[in-house]
Amino acid sequence: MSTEKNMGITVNIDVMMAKKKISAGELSSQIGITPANLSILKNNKAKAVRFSTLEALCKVLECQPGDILSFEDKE
Amino acid sequence: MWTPGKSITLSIVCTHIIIAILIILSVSLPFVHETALFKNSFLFNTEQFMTSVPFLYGGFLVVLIILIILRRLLLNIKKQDVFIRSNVRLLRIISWLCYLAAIILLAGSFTTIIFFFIGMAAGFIGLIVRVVKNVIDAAVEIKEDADFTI
Repeated sequence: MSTEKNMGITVNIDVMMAKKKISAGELSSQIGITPANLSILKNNKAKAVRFSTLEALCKVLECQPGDILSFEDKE
Repeated sequence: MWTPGKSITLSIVCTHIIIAILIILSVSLPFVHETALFKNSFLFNTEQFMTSVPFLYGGFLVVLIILIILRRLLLNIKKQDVFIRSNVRLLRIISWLCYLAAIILLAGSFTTIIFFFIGMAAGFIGLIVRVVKNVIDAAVEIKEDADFTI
């Protein structure tokens, strides 16, 4: 999965984090990525997300991929 | 034991040595040429030398700038900054300077045939450096993709 500059894939984990009442530090530690990488993900600067990371996110946040990923055609 | 770090240090030292040789050669060439070794030589007699001076020193200047930029590139590599945009820019500049040196020497090839061959070699080296620049540019793209793959 990759996010090209012209594509509108948005990562929305802030809402799920607020629902689960989990901090960024805690989340990054539980899914096994650095806080810096989580920040890259949250700020939509990531170019690609591994399925293993997505799986870990969905497991910790108890949600579906569609709950944290959205698409908007920006062309 | 030989390491990549020592290899880069050796490259930097060699660059410094060649810069020093180039500067010494530039300063001493008029005096060296007065020696019998060159004055009556077949390839580089006095008449040829006088007409070739602008092209020779023009080439020396361009090569000196190339060596300074090469030193900058090597220092970046020593700091582990290999696949970065700055290095791509430095390689682009080096390739264009090689082309400039080729043009200067080819323009001066009417003074001595040696300049023609060195000019062609400089153009060829410029092309190789340009291809290396393309390779590093592609590597930078791949690295940025990898760095931003979470």
